[in-house]
Amino acid sequence: MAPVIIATDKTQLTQFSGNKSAYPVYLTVGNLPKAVRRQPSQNSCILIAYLSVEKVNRSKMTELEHRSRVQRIFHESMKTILEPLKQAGKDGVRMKDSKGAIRQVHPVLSCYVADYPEQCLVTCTKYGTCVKCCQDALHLEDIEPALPRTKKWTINVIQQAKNLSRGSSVKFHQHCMDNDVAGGIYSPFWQDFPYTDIHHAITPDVLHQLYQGVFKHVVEWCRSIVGEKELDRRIQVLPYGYGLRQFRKGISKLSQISGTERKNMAKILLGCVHDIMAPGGVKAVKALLDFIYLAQYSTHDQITLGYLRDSLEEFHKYKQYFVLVGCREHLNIPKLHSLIHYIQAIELFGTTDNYNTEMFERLHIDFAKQGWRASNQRDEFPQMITWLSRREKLISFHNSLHAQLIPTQSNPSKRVPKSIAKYPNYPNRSIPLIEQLHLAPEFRRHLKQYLNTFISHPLSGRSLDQADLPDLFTVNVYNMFRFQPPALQDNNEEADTVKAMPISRTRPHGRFDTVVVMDSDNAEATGMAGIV
Amino acid sequence: MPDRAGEWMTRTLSFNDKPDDEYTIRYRNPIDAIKSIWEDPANAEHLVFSPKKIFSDTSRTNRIFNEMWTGKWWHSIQVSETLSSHCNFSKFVVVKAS
Repeated sequence: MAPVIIATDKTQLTQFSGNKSAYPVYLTVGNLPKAVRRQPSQNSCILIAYLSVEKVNRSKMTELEHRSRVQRIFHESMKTILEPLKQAGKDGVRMKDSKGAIRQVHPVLSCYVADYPEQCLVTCTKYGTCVKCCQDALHLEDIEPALPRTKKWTINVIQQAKNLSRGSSVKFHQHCMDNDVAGGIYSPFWQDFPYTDIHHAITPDVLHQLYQGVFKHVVEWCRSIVGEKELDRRIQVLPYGYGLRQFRKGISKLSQISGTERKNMAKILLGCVHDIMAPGGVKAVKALLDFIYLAQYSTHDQITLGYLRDSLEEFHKYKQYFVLVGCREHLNIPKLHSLIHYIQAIELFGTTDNYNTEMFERLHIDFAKQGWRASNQRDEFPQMITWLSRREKLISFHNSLHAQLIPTQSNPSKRVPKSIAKYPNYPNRSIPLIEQLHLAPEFRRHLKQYLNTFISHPLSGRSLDQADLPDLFTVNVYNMFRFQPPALQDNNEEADTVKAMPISRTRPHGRFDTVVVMDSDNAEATGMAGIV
Repeated sequence: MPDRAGEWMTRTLSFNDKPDDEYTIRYRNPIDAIKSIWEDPANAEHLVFSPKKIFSDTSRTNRIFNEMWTGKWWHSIQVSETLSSHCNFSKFVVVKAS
C-alpha cells in the first residue's frame, strides 16, 4: 500500500506589491521515512497541481452564494485531480519500485495536511466547529470529544439536506449549517475514496494549532495579566543563555510574529510569569508548554503518550483561571479543542513530524516561489510548470547518475567530541583573579581536590585542606568550548557551544552557560533523575 | 526526456449560471507522481512497503509510534484488506505484516 499524503496551502508569490498568489497541491507517500521526506532536495514531495486562484466575481451574487461557489470550485478541482486515486486504491496499479521489482500498489489517501480554514473547507465542516468530532461550538472547551464525525455521517447530512431543500440552495445551506456542516458542497471530492475517512485524515498541525494558535492566546493572556510593560521588561533583562533568543525590545512591539519567534517565546515565557500569576495560572501555562513539547516528540510509546494525556488533563484542570481573571469569557476555541485529538492521530499515523505543515511551507519557497521568480511574471503558471518539470528532470538525472556510477560511499565524518580554541583566551591567570572575575568561588579548593586525584598517594581530609598550591600557580582559561552530542534524530548533526565569559566592562555579569552532565545511565527521558 | 512525474494537464471549470467565469486548474496524474517517487533510485534504500508493530521490549506491551508505518491506520487497512478475499495485495505483505 502507498499511504498518500496530500497538502494544500495558498501562498503569496509577490512579497510587497502586486497580488499574485498560487494554490499548490503537494503529494508525498508514507512509504518514505520522514527524514527523507523532509529534505526538499530529494524530490520526495511532488507538486501535483496548481488550483485556480482566479477571484470569484461577486456581482449578482449574495455573500452566501459566493462562499458556496468558492467551496464548490475547490471540491470540483480536487475531484478532477485526485480522480485516478479512486480506481487505483480499489484495484491497485502495477508500479516499479526503485530496485526494479514490480509491485501491485494500492495508493490510499491517508493524511491531508492543511491549516484550520482549509481543514473546514476540505471536510465540509462549518467554520468554528471541530473537523474531527461533532462537538458543538459552545462546548469546544470540554476535554471529552463528542461522537466522531465520519465520512458516512457528513454525506448523510448532505444527502438529507438535498432531499429536504428540493433544489433551493438557501434551504440546503440552512439545513447543513444547522448540523455544523458547511453548506455549499453537494458532492465532496472524497466521497468515493476507498478506505479513506477524511475526518481521520486531517492531521494535527503543530505550527498553526499549537504555536500560532493556542500558545499565541496564552501569550496574550499572560500579557494582560502581567501587564504589557512588565512582561517586556522581564523579557528584556533575561541573561544570555544557550539557544535562547534575546528579545531586546520585548515582545509587545513585534508585528507578524513568525513561527520561529513563537518557539523562542515559548522557551522563556514561563520564567517571566511564574511569580506574578496565581499558582493555578502558572500550572496551566506549564501544562500547556509541556503538551507543546511532548507533542513534538519524534518517537512516542504508551508511556510518553500517557505524559501527553496527563499534561492535557492538567491544563484542563486549571484552564478556568484565564476565565476567572477576565482574559476571556469562555475557552471554546477550535484550536484549543483540537489538542484532544492529538493522541489518536499519533497512534494512527505516527508522530506529528510525519505531517507537519512546516515541511510543506518550506516547499513553497522551492517549488512555487523560485518558479515564479524564473518566470517573466505574465501568465506565469505555464512557465512555472515548465520550470518545475525541468528541475525534476535535472534532479532525477542526478540521482540516477549517482545510483549507477558512484558506489554507495559511506563516510562517517570524523567528528571531534569536544574542541577548544588553539590558544587560551586568558593565558596564565592567577587563581584569585579567576575566583573573582569568573565567579568561581572556591576554585582553589576544587582545583586542589581535582589535582589530588592524580597523585599516587592522595592526601585525605584535613591534610588536603592544609596543603596549598604554589603561589605562582596559574591556569590557562578558555572562555568557550564546542561539543557534538550524539544526535537525537537521524541525519541531523548537532553542534553545541558552551560559553563562560568573565566579567568585563561590556558584560557586567559575565555569561555562564549551564551544562547538565549525565553521570550515570539511569536518566529518564523526561525528568532530571540520575543527572547531576 | 519524458516528464518525470507525468504530463501536465489543464482544465477549465465554469458554472451554468455564469459560463463566462472560468477557473483554470493545472494538474498531473497523482499516480504518476507516486510512481516517480517509488522509482527514484535515491529512495531505493528508504522505501517501506508494509506496516510494522514495534514494541519497546519482547513482552509486546509498550507499543512505539514514530514513522507512519508504525501507526495503527496503515496496519488496520493493509492487514484487514489482505485477509478479505476480494482484494489482491501482493503475497509478501501478508507474510511480513502477520
